[in-house]
Amino acid sequence: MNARAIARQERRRHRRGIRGVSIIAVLAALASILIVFAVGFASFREFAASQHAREDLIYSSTIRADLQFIYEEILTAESAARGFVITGEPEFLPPLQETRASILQKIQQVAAFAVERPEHTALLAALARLTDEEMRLLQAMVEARTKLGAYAATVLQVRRGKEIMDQIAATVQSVSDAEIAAIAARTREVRIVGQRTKQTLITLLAAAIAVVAASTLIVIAHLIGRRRAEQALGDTLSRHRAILASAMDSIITVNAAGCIETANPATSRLLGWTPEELVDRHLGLLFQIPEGTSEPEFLATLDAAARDGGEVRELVGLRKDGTTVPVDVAIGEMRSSDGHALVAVLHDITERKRAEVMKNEFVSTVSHELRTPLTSIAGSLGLLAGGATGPLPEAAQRLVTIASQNSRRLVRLINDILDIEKMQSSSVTFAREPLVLAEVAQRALDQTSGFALEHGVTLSLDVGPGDTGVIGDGDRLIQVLTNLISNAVKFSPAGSAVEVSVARRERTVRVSVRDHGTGIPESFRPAMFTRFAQADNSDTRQRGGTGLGLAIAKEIVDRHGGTLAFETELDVGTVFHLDLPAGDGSHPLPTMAPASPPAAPVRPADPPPASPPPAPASASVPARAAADVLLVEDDLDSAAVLSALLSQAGLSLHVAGSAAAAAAHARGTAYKAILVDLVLPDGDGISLIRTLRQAHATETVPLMVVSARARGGALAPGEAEALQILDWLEKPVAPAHLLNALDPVIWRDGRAGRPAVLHLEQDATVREQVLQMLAPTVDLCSAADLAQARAALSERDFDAVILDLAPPSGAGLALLPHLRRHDGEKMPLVIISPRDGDPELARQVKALLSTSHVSLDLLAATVLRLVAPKTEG
Amino acid sequence: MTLRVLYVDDEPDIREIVALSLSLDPDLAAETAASGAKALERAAAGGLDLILLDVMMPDMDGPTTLARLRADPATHAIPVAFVTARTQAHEVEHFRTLGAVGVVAKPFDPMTLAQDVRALHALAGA
Repeated sequence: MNARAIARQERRRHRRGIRGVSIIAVLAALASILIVFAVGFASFREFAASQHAREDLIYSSTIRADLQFIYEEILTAESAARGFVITGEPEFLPPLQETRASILQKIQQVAAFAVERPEHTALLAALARLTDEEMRLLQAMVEARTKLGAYAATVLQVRRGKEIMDQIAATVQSVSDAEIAAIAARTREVRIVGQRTKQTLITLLAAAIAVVAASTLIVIAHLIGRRRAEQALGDTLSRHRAILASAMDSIITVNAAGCIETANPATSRLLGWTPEELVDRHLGLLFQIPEGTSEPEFLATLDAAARDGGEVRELVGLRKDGTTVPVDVAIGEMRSSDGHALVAVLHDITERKRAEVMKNEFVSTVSHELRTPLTSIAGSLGLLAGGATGPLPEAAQRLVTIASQNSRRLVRLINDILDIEKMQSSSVTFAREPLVLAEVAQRALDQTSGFALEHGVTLSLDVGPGDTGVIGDGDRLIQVLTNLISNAVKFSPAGSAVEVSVARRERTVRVSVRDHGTGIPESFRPAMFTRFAQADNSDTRQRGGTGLGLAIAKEIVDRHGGTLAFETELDVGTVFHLDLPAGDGSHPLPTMAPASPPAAPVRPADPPPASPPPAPASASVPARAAADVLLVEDDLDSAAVLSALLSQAGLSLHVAGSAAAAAAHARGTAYKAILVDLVLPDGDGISLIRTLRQAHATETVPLMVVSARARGGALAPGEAEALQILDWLEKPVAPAHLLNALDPVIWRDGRAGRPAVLHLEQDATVREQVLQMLAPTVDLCSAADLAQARAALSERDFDAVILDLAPPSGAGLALLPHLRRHDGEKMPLVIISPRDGDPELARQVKALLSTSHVSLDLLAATVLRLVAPKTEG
Repeated sequence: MTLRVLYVDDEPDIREIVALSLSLDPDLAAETAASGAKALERAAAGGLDLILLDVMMPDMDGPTTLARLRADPATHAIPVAFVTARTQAHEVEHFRTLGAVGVVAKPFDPMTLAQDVRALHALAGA
């Protein structure tokens, strides 16, 4: 993992930490605000209570002071009255007069002021009344002194005055006492409120301290936790770094956009790129994109594989220096906070590949070395047993026959051992092509019909309804079925039947092979598919098998993702079931070419499925154009191979052995295409291509590279396009690939240049096979009967005609008089005849092939040779 | 018409068996050569209708011999087939692309070898 990824992870962790602390801070702030509000409220309440108490105290003091003042005024008035009574002096009278008025006014003021003390109302009223009474008594005393003398006045004062004064003093004292009590009560209230406020404030303060302490503790705990997490992360990163650094395999992480995020040091060792150079580069940079796939498609398949639980696939890695390295790539999915990503582990398999090559070479060599002496042994014995050296004594003849048969068995054994070894080492690549299993079964039946006949066993095929399409290797599946059928035949009593049936099941297609033999002994059943397993040793000799057939068949079926099983009953028979996953139409089967109605799905034959479809039978008469190709190649063998291939396709060829010769050729001749090998004695092919592209005569000529080097290793990205390199054919060149690549170039003016061939054949399967075989290079018109053939001949000339004289097509000879071109020249004729070496027929035809020896390859090669020289002439 | 066939193999036993096998057909005249070089010599002398080449031979192997035959105007038209124990599918395909008219697998059936040779010649002459 690099620094960038670590930093990103660290930032994410940091952000998460900040978020946590922020939440705590906000909560603490909210709690603090609440506490402040609560403190404010409590303080305000305390202040209000004190204020109220203070006001009440002043109020109370005012009342008491006023009452004291009134009482003193009354005493003043009494003193004045008494002074007058005693002295008779008139100067005592004015103060008495003044005091009386002011006292009564003051009492009214106090009563008004003390309105908030309703409990005083009655006392103050009594005080007013007593004061009034006292004042009147004093007035009466003054009048009595004046009129009756001092004694009378004194009597009045003594009788009534003292009593009134005592009542006034008591009333004033009552009000004063009530005020004192009220103030005391108020003071108590204020104290209680004060205490409550104090408690509240203490509580709030404690809460504030608690909040601060708690938030502080939380933050500290968070910081400590974060620190520990960082340490743990650091430790993990160190471990991962150490693992990545010491890993032998290249480990790469790729983001959802297909860009490399990280790469470990092993990547440098494997591919030459430093991890820093690879960051943000596209993954496609590191691999040779498989042929026929675009980079986005390639990445999409990797992505799909990763999402599907991961897989290991073999790819070709591209080094920085342009060289390639075979790698096993384990692809897995990685889920992160950034989304979906890929992890690719690249394991260098150069050594394994080398070992595989060595093993293949060893297998091939062993095969050769074993077969060479066997050739002599089997050949000698065959000649002796066949009577080539004259008749042998009977006993010798029997022994020689045994030896001859066993030498042949040894050959089969070697072949089977090599076959199973190759399959189990996965060095055999199986084709994956759409097949109709019913057709495969029919071909297997055809191949074993002779063997069944020898054993007096009849074969039958029953095809059920439904699509019997599968994906697989046709030849290998035929191998499986011929093995099952020949086994069934071997273990069937003469006169019995072996029944083959093909049936579509829900998700599979099943082929069943049933015999009516003795069944398989119970003890042997578990070992049926193991090597060298036959019910008893004598079986091998008696039945002529190698003991490997079913093991090979099982291996082939396993490699197809299918199953091979059997049911058996002693003295009743055995049935083998081959189940293969149904093709399910997800791989559309190719349809027949228009020349061979009715259209039916067929297995493409050896030419690749990408072969261009042949032109309709009604195409115009071909007028061949000269199609010259320049091949720049210094290796004579390679040149010979390509020359043979091209001449088969009817193309003339110039070979230049050096870059200089190529340039000279190109100046003098207008070629339709140029093929360039990259390794030349006087320079490299890419430089030659650049030179050719700069020359006026060759700047636009279609040009292809034929090289043992891979495309990615030789060219900078985009250079192939810049140099207009149409195709890159890797050696050894597949014939079909070369012809397909050349096809649009050479015949770009339409199909006019392709040779036309008429094929009369009643067997639809054979027609289809021949059509598939020849379609890439010739316009094949397939005729199912004489009428169709005559109709085709009336429309156009043909460069060759193929007639099958084997029954039931034997009537084809009737066409012979019609096989002349419009210019009177005979059309070259290829006849497939059951009569070997018929001299009469041989005179009339270009090629006479024996029904017993002809093969599709042989027929195709013959036809191609027939039509090819025409183009050169 | 008698077919003149040259069989080229470094194994004397097999040369002898092939010669004997081919002699079973009275219309076949079989000759043998022990190396590619000797085969080239014999071919240049003319008169051959078909050459059967072993693939693995010391000094000059079958494919090289074929390339030499093709390179020489005097011999380039002589049809050539391989007789080999190298019969894996890709090997056979490779021999065909080299220009061989066919491949006879070793070990062959000595009693039908002549018939196979005739078929190869018919194919080549087509």
